[in-house]
Amino acid sequence: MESQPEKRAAAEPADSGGEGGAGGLPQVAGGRSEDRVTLLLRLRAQIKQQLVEYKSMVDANEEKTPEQIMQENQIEDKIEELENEIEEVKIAYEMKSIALNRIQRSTALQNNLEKIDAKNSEFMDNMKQILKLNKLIIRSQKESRSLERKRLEIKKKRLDLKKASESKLLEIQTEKNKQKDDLDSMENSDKIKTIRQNLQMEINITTVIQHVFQPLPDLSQPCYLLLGPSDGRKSSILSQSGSQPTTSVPEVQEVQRDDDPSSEPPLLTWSNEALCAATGRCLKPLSPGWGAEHIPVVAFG
Amino acid sequence: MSVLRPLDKLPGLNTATVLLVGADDALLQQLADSMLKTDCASELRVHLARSLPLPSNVNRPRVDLLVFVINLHSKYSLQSVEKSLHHVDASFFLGKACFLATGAGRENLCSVHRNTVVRLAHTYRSPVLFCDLEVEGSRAAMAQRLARMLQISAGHVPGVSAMSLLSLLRSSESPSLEDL
Repeated sequence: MESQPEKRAAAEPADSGGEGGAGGLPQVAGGRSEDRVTLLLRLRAQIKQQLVEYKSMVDANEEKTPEQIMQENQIEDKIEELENEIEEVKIAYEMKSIALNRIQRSTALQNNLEKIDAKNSEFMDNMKQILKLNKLIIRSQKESRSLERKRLEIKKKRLDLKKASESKLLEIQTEKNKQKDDLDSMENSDKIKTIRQNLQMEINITTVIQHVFQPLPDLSQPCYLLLGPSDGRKSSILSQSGSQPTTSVPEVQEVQRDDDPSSEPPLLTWSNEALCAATGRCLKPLSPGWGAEHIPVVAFG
Repeated sequence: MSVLRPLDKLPGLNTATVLLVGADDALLQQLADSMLKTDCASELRVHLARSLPLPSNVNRPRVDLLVFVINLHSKYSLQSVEKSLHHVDASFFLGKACFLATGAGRENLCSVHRNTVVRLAHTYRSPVLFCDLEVEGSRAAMAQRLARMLQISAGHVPGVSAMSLLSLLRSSESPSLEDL
């Protein structure tokens, strides 16, 4: 293997000497012995190569070729596969030859190291430089590998965190949905409806009672029956004892506020009996001189 | 002897033979002259043919490299090459055959699209070379290239076989062929 590059290098200078116009084998008489030797070496290499080719063809023909007629795209695929195989074999061969060359060169160097004394220093310098560079390479490769590992770990952690957050969010979502479903189911249940109906009824009762009982505190205070003019001017009621003058004013105002949109103040005719029943005490019946047939009472509540 | 086979004869010592197949005689002659002028350690023999099959009465050496010359200016050359392809053994296309397309520079005269030739070469898994055989410099460069390929195909270069050269020449072409 190592001799072949030498032969090739020797073939180049032999070209100019080897080929005349005649070509073919150079004249034995005129050629130098070195030319003959290089020619012979070259022929030897040629014959070797041609032998290898023939051998490989023979080996290839021994394989069984597919007899059946395959479809065109199948053939194409097959061809691609074979081409890939060829490439792989080539690459493997190249790698091996490189490794072999390196081994051969190092052994040759080892063997010749003692002989070459004068160039020792150069070799030593080269070797030292090579060693330094190799160490540097190894160190940086180690660093890059550790960094790569760290990066991978961080990525893994991030992925784990992501997954955990995903699961948590999913949990939250399911909980929310469950709550929503519960709420919806609750709202639609019959219990709630009956409760609501009862509630509504209670509310109605209380409003009615409210309306009934609201005027009572005002009626509990004795109110004076005023004989107002028949044309219906506004009449005010003076509240009696128990109420301070301060409270009279708002009462009066209240009366005015509670006025109907009509110009006439609201007039309620209360019979004596009703008044007694409402207030709980009897009022003295008025003398007839007072015009009892029409007693406008302004009451507010 | 209608089919040309690559390894049916023993090789001559230090001799490499190339067969140029093409319809254009003048171009073939020019290319042959340029090839013979190149510096080569082995003896080169150039045979010219207009089409295959070759007449079987002539005693000729084994063909190491087969070059199909297609002139992009004439459709007839493409047709004659396509016809000749039927008379070639399949094992030739393992690196011992190549296509040479000439005249791609002058677009206005081209009647054959270069993609046709590229596709033809792709079907036969062979390299295709482009040059302009009418220009002296291009012809000389192409002749040198062919001489080198011939040496490799004939087995005169140790360590490199025709098939490895084929795969070497292939890698630059295939990416573009995926788009075809």
